[in-house]
Amino acid sequence: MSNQRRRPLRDNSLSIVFGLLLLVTLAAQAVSGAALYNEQARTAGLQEISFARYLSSSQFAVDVAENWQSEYLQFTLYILLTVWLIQRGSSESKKPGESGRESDEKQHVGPFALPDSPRWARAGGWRTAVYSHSLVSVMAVIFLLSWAAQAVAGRVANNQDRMRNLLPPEGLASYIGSADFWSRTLQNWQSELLAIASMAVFAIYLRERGSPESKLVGAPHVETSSDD
Amino acid sequence: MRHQVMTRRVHAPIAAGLLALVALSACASPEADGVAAAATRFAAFSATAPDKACLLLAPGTRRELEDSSKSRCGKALPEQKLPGSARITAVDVAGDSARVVTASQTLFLARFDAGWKVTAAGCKQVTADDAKPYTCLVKGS
Repeated sequence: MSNQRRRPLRDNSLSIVFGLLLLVTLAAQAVSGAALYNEQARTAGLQEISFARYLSSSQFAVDVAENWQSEYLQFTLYILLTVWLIQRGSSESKKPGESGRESDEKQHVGPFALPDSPRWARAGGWRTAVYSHSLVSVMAVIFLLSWAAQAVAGRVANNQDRMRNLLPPEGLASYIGSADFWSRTLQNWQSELLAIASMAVFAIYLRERGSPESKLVGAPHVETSSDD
Repeated sequence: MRHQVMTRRVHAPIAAGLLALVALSACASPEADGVAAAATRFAAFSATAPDKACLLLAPGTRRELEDSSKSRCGKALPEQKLPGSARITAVDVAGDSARVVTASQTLFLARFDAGWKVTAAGCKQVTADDAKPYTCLVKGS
């Protein structure tokens, strides 16, 4: 640890800024979503709703959840697949030959733990096993919850539209097999996978000076990781 | 009476609560009772007190009825020969839309500030294809 003074705002600026951006864009999404909802209600000769009511609507919930699930799926897959898969020349990849779970010594677990390693990394047994997969586990659980939320809220939102159009409502099982559910799901998945694939490849040849997501500007294209 | 209610009430702060909120959206609510009551009143009034039944029609549906029949709602409604009251077999509520299935007809309703209003009545499902809408004696444009 450097002897720089701890400054909470500066030391956590990345999380704070992204947290604030999340709130701003979520609020903006809610405002535009409410406007769209009411525009459609006017067109259909139906009741417009208040902003507060829109916030508690299934329309808003499904629009949020369908994006959240795909983001967490993206990171779950990325974290997991980069254990084994390599992209030669990319700063996003381990070096060729290093794929796999790696040794306890390299991972600083059990007897190889450092003095300031997390307690469960040092503990060994099931604790270390659980802690060794805690990041993907949490991401995967949030993905599954978000996806389930998308299904539940999406069914209500879709049924509202269906009954407006004099169609019978669908049950949850039927909705999960429906075009609406899979269209919402897959349009998000494909965009997340595109972002990951392009990032892995762009990072071979392109640079952003000073960003830890990039190789050093002068690093050769063949260098796979800029960690050393 | 089967109440298959899908409400959209959520009771927690945005961010972290959203997922839990959505998960709660399948909980039962008293909304189905309000929907059933509106449908029952409409079905009862449509034959005996059409002017009262007209007050339970959604504005767009009432306008369409008057435009297509070229007469006022209270006169046009009995001419549609809607089925009267019958036992309710299912109520479905999703957000601001609802469907009430009775032994003699299906009604569709929408939520307004003044309560649930009938958007379509005298509806029957003429095909097993759920992508095809009900055909209705009274409906909006």
